Amino acid sequence: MKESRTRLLALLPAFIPLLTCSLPPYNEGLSLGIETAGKMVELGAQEITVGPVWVWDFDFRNREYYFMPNKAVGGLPLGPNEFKNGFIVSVDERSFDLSFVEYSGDPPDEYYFYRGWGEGIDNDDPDTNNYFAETVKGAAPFLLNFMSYEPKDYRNNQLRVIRYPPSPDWEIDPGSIDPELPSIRNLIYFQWFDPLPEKWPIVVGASIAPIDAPNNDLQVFFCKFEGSGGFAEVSYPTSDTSGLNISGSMLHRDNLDFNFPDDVDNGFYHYLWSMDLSFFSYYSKTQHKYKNYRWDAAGLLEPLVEMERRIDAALTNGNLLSFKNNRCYVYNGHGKKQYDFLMGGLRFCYEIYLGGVPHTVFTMPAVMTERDHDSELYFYVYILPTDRLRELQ
Amino acid sequence: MRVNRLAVAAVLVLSSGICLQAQKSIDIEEVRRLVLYFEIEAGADFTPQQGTLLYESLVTSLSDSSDRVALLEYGDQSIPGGDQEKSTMAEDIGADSWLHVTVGGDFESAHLQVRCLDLLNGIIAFELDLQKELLRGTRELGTLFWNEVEEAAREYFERALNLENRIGDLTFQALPGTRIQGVGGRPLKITDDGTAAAEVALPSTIPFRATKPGYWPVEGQIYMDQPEKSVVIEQTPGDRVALDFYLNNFNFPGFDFTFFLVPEMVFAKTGILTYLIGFVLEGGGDSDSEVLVSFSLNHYNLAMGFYLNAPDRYFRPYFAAGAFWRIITARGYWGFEPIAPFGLQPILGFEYSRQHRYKLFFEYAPMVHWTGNSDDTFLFLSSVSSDNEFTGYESYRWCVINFVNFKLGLRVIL
Repeated sequence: MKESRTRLLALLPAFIPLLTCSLPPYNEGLSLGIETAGKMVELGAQEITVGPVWVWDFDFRNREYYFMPNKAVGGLPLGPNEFKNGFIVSVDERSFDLSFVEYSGDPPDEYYFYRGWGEGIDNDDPDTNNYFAETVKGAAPFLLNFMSYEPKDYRNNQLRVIRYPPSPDWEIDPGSIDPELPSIRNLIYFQWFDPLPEKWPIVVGASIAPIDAPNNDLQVFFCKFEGSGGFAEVSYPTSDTSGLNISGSMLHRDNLDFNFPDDVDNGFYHYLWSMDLSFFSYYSKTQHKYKNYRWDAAGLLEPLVEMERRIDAALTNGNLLSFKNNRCYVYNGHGKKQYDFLMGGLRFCYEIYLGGVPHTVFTMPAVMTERDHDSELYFYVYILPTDRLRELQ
Repeated sequence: MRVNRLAVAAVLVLSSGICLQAQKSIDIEEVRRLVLYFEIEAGADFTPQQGTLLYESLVTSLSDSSDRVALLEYGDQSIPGGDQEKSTMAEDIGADSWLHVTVGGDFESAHLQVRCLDLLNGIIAFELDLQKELLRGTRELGTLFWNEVEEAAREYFERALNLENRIGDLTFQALPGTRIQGVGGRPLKITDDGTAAAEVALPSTIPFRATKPGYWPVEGQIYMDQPEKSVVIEQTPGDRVALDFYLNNFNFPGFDFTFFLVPEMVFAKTGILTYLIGFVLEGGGDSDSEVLVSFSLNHYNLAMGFYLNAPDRYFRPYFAAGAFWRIITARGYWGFEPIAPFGLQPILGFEYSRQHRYKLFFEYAPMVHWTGNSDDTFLFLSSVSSDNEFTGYESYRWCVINFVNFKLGLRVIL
């Protein structure tokens, strides 16, 4: 009797699995990101905490999300509200969503969260450039330029300008020439190439190049001509009221003949305003790797043969960034690896001139879930002079 | 007994380290062992049921006769013929005396022949030849029928122990420091010369238990039938190494290597708990349908502890305390987890097995995660999965304690 009782008691723990089920207290992105964030602060980076932002029914858990802060107008020291407002970008394989965090300022440290705008995108191929989203400098109301790419037909690539607060809609018209043809390709065509039938452009890649001006940067589009296979670069100053300054458009380079394979109609494109250099990466489906190039003001193409990772950003000092495997790999302008540092959950948002000095801006989220449907969001913003990036290695 | 049951329940529910005695403790009383040979005389007129009644009532009477007599039943085997054969058989089954009872006649008028022999003293203890009448049937079996036999057994064995009062010297030879229970009413301790002696009554049967940390306990009994007796206790060292395989919180696998500093008693262990692969039954992971989950986190563990009872117990509680280090093995980074790189871990556990090599164990092992400051405490809490509805975390300025942490596994003794 006593033995059987002992045996029964010994088996009791076997039933406990039915009662408990827990995951480790660990967030890889946060743990790895905080390591580098600490170094940034030691190097003198400005650290701004956005939050707590109270969110009911937090629904980003199964999605990639990050905070894209508004761009300061350029002065140092920073104003009390700088980098504290911004969009929360949330993506998965099929959709792109924006929410907005508004800093009250009065009372201090109070933030408001607004769910907002969403769009279906095709984001299941990690090797292709599927979308681009970046806030617009100096904009109030706050603006974000959003470029989406459609792999099924890249002629349908779209640029949208998203505005907070919405009035009445989140999406605003950047000012197309023909309202019936609102896509960015139509805008570029009718501005620069009409009536040349061989120069219907497809936007292959786009980015915003920071410039040392208080109210605008430069949004640059790398275009491929449908008929001829040639390429061109067109830029628009960003506008703090409409996203793009249509009337300020410039045709940087035309008739670029790069002899890229015919199927190169999507890639990662960056332009350096300070050096008038362009960089482009595309994924070669035949060689199963990224091919990287640069060209100068004369359109002289240089393959970056030493660089096998794609170019995710080009800095004003000519260095190139590539993000992979929780790390940031830094190359010089000719594709030679310089150094790398840990990124984890840090997100490189953009580079911006502050006080005439280029700074890199990173953000990182932290979420505190109180109960099932009630969460506190925090976003850490780190602003580091670009030239000190090397010290993170 | 009730208290013991409550203690067992408390250990399992609270996983406390209260020591349990799962096996019967040793009775240190000196007793005589009497084997009963019972038979119905040929030609007697008893039904099988009557024979059974006679036998069982005799067993009851003899069992009640004296606390110093332990009755051994012989069963249905054929009873040896002569005294010598009966004595040999009695020794074979561990008895030191025998009682032969033959019943003749019938149920109304029975004839009893009783003969008892004391093997230790080599004498006939008593002999009876009785004629019994059962006037009131079976009721007398439990009251009067065996009175004379019961009284004779009581008188003899009480006198044998009390009146003879002979004393013998019992010497144990064992490893120095060995403690021996069951002899003379208090524990003996083996001295540096490897011996310990005690005076014991003659004749007597003496059960004993010898224990020494690091060695397997030795249990046995000695028939003290000589004025001097020396007993050598063979002691076997306990094992030194064990391997643990377990599931932490029943989700994530772990492995520990244990080295016994004092065999089977005091141990140091080191091991790894990995979150690289885990099984989630319900409510965890990034989606409801996920069964396998993976995190680039591992714990390197180091602990020391000790058992709270002897190694030959089936049920062994133990306590340990140690530290763990959180190590990330992510793409692009291998190293300490920066928010809470290490922690402390007390362990209250027990193991159970009816055999020595393989043991099932269960541990309550809360984790004290050291963060060092309130900022990292906040970051740590924000690392807790929002899928955990009941997390069991308690935060302080310098640390976060996870109170809900268990281990269930298999311990293999090498």
